[in-house]
Amino acid sequence: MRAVSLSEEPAFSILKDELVCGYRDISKEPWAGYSGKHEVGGNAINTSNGAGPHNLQTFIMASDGTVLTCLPGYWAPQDLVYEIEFASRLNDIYANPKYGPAQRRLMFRSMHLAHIKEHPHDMSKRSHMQHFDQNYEAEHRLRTTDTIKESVKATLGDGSNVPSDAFKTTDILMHERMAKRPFLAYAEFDTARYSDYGRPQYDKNEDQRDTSGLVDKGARSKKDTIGNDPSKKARRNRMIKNIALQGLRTGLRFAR
Amino acid sequence: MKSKMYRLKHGLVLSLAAISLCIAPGLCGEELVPGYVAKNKIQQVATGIEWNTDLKAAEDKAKESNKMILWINMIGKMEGAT
Repeated sequence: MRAVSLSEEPAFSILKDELVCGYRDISKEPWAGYSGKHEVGGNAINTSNGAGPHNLQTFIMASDGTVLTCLPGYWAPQDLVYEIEFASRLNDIYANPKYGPAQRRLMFRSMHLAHIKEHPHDMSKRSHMQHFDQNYEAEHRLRTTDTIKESVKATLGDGSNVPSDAFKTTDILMHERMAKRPFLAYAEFDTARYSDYGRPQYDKNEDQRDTSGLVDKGARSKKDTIGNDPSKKARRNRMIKNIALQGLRTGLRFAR
Repeated sequence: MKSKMYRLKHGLVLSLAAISLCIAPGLCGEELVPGYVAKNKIQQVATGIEWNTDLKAAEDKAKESNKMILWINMIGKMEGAT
């Protein structure tokens, strides 16, 4: 996932002039996901809000590194700006000496939950969870997931087919999860758990698409990946095992 | 029987049309950005915005300028492959 959408105004000017920006590469984090590798000149895709949560997280923090909000995965630039404005309101609460820590935490929770209702309808429409992520949640953690609406979850049996609209939109999920993490320092923020929904792989095969948008299946099977790709790890382990075995055989041959 | 076949045939055509609309990403709310456009936009973001890679340094700058911090965790590099 790439920073293409951050070039859109007003997001670009806000990042450039009103915020201090930074990033880190999480490729080696055990909780990071993986995707097809995109070179700078490769195609990109504007996808739905919250897509690829294991591969990308955008934190808005107070100047001391206290997390005000975190957007998991891709977000449309206008929705990112909307959430930055919301974070600045939280920042005002955080910086206001008239509030004690307990009162601040209470306000943090209620403001995050209240903001769900403030989201424009278009933003909610852009926040539909990807179908492959919904399927993953239904298949792997039907009973424990917080991505399915509680009212629906109670009616579902094991192996039920979960309808797509039973899932919360990612804009709701984000604020519900943030409400449980009031004013935490970045170092204390459990990013792995916070951004964990859906499958670890996010891939739209952008570079394997032709001009009409269709995916070339041959090219897709040959592409390189970036991040914690389990098949890559397995290949590396097999290679190490083979080298070790070969070394052992050669050593034994010499010993005879 | 004839009307059943007619409905089946037209239902099939409509389903195929719906599937093909969803395969084309632009029509499903997902827009494909061609490589040359993406490259320019990435360069604009990578060079037009000052990106810190050390959170402590970012915090110092934010305190000094009384600004909030936007911090991105990402797979890959801002100016390189992702």
